[in-house]
Amino acid sequence: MFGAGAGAVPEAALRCRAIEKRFLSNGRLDPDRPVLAGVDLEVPPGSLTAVLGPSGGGKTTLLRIVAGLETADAGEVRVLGETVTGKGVFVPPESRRVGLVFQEYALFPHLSALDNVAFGVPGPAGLTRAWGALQMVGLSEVASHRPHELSGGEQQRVALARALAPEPAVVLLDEPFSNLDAPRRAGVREEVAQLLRRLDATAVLVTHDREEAFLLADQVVLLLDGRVVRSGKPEELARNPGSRAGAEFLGETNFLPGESDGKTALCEIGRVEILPPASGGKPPRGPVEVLLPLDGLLVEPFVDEERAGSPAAVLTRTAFHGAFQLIEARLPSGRPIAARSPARDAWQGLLRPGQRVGLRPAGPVPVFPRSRT
Amino acid sequence: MSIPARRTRWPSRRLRAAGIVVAAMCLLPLVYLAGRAVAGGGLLDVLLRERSFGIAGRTLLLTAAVALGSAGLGLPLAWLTARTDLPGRRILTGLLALPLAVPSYVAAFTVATALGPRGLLQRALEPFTGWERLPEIYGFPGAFLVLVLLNYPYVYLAARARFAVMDASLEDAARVLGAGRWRRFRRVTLPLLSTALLSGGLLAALYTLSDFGAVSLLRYETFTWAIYNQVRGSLDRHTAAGLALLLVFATLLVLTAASRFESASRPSPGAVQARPPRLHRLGGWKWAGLALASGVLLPALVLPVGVCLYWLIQAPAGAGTGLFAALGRTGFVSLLAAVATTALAVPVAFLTVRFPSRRSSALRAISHIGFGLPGLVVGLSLVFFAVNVAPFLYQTLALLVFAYAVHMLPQAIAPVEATLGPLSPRLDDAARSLGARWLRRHRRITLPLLGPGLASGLALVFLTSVKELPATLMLAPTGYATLATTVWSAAENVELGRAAAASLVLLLFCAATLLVVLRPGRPLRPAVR
Repeated sequence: MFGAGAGAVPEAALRCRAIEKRFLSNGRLDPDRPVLAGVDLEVPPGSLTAVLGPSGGGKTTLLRIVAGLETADAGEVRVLGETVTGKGVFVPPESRRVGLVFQEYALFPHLSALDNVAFGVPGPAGLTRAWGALQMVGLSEVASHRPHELSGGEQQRVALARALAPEPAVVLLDEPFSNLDAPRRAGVREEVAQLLRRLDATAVLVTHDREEAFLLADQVVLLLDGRVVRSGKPEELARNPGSRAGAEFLGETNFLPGESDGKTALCEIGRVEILPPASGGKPPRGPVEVLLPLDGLLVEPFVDEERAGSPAAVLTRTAFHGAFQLIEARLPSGRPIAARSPARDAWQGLLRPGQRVGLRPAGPVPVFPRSRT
Repeated sequence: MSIPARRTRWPSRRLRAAGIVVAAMCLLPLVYLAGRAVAGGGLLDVLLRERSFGIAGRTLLLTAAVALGSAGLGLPLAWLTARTDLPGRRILTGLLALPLAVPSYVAAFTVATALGPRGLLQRALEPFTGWERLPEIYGFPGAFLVLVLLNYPYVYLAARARFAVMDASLEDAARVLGAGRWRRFRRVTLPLLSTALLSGGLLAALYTLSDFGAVSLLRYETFTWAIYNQVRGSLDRHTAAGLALLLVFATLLVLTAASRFESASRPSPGAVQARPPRLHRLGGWKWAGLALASGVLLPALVLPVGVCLYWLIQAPAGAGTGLFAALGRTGFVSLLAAVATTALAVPVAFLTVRFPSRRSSALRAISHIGFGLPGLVVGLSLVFFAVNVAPFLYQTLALLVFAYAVHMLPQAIAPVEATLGPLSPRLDDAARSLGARWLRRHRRITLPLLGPGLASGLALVFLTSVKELPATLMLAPTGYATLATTVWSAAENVELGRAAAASLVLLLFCAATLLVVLRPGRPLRPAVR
């Protein structure tokens, strides 16, 4: 349907390649602690990408480099195919078509909501557009209010309207929901995501909140210690976080030592099927760490080893969380292991502390190479 | 003025260059003076001369006496207005701070002519009492009286601020523990007030050390007047430089002590008042309280204005000649000083607020040097500098404005820093990401947001320049009489009508400026030494 020539690859709205950044510590470059160590990022047009990682992991620096507020030590940033940061190229932020919503919103305190939104679209025509943008976020009735007269959620929407009014090629959102209190957050989050989708905007969202990233994004990029550990659809990431550190950041706790033969791995709960690595290539052989995802582990009352395929663990504790129940057990080696099972298992009351249980994964699981010590 | 685009964690090259220029400007007077005094042998000379000990002794005596006197007057006034049901305390609270704004040379000449041995008071009393002379006012008594009346507000304001955050439950606790009124005051209230008393007293000491107007008109030879006489009388520059360096040492001692107590006197977060204090009922004592307050305000505020009006009525025709020209010159040079000083303050404020580092705090300290130096010392060293190094600057307005800027820079830095501090650097980033270039960003965002701070800085420097005397005497081009120098020289020559007229114009001008600037809801923050 689209008139793209044969073999034409759809151009990414934003493409970062091998971005590196070091900061000064005590006035010197610290070579050992890069903030960003070769970050690649590709954002297809009209999609929402979440950059997920712990605070201090370089997420905000990445955004600032894309916006041009920070320079990169190496690497390249392209917006709609045009290089804006690269070898000998630096387009200043005011000339990039990149919008930015700041964590603390950075609304101009002396300008009304409308004037804030109109700031990026000068001229009489701009005022009409700013008005349209405010209407779009449902705030036309507070157009004349100053930022301090608006609620946190309203300020957030003004900031979003301001970033979107100049119709940027890509809009960046830096922890946009962290300043809202928990009850408001879920609603605002949903509104913003719907709005971005309705406008078919290309957006990059930075967050340290796993749930937020999984819920909103088409693509999640896991950024740890300045490196992209894993990127992909939320469910792919949840299933295979790419590395032990990535898995730990996502809250996984069950790592068992095992031996891999390339297709299966043998560990304390028996032989398990393994997933191909997220980065492609062949699964590792030899000593590995087997990740048993909390949500991918089935817990049943132990019948016999033949049927369960694994030795019995002793259930030590259950905790009812409402939507699920957390089960903690101890393997024969004494190693603790945990699993989440649906709430209805708790309703049936089949699992009780002290009981012997069998454990098996619901499907193939990721393994990570283990260094011999 | 370069304002940083926060592209990196480094200030831009323009901003760094501006910082270096400001630091060099602020260091120039002190470094040049010290160099001259030591290399020219003036310091050694002065140290070996017997007369110097008399000057140093008188200076220390007056400084210590004024500090103690200010504490003795400021503390009860603060207590009366903050903690008692003194009638009219709302109005008194503001009025009692006002003497801070009266120039010392105006107070000195009015007090001398009113309370002197054969002054207005003696003339008024003679028909009834037959007294032909009142006690001598020239020398220590007059200088002490004038300086205490002008400086007690430092202690008064510091103590009031401390009373405001003092938890009343501490006094209640002492009461429950059985302490009587006097013991409560001595063991609880006074120790809590001690830092405020010390810091206020030290500010009064600092003012006394640098004062020239009062000691010169009341003939009490402290450092400043001695230095001035050396320069004007014998043109002995070495001795003047030596004396000035000694004065700098004394000032540094007080400044060091003041900065220690300034940080110590900030109330700890836990000490913030939980409950408004109960007001003491004065009962019949309220008359004593009112008498004290009016006994201070009468000589400090009413007397200068009243005496000026009296001399104005008595004045011979022509006493006011040239006053309009002097007013114009004062306004012009003060405006130049205000603009130049505020312009220099902006890069310093940006460097200290946006790029905190050891270097920027060093810059901040350096920018305060000229503020700590007595105006006379700044003027003196710039005279030396111009005569020996830059003769093309000697007797120019540029040099005078330079002296004002170096002397008053912190007054402009403080309000600019205060407005810049809460402004997020993200605002500039936001403007950039919305496509605004340098000029538009600063015109639409930085300037409007910095506006109140810039206005405060301009106003403070303007007012201080209008009243400044010693540096103006040293540096103003020949024939460039300002209001301040007119008051002083007319008082010196006993042209009382002229001194009175110039004083009134000066006071009215200051009051008018204050009224324009002090719009409600926009408090001026005075720079803290």
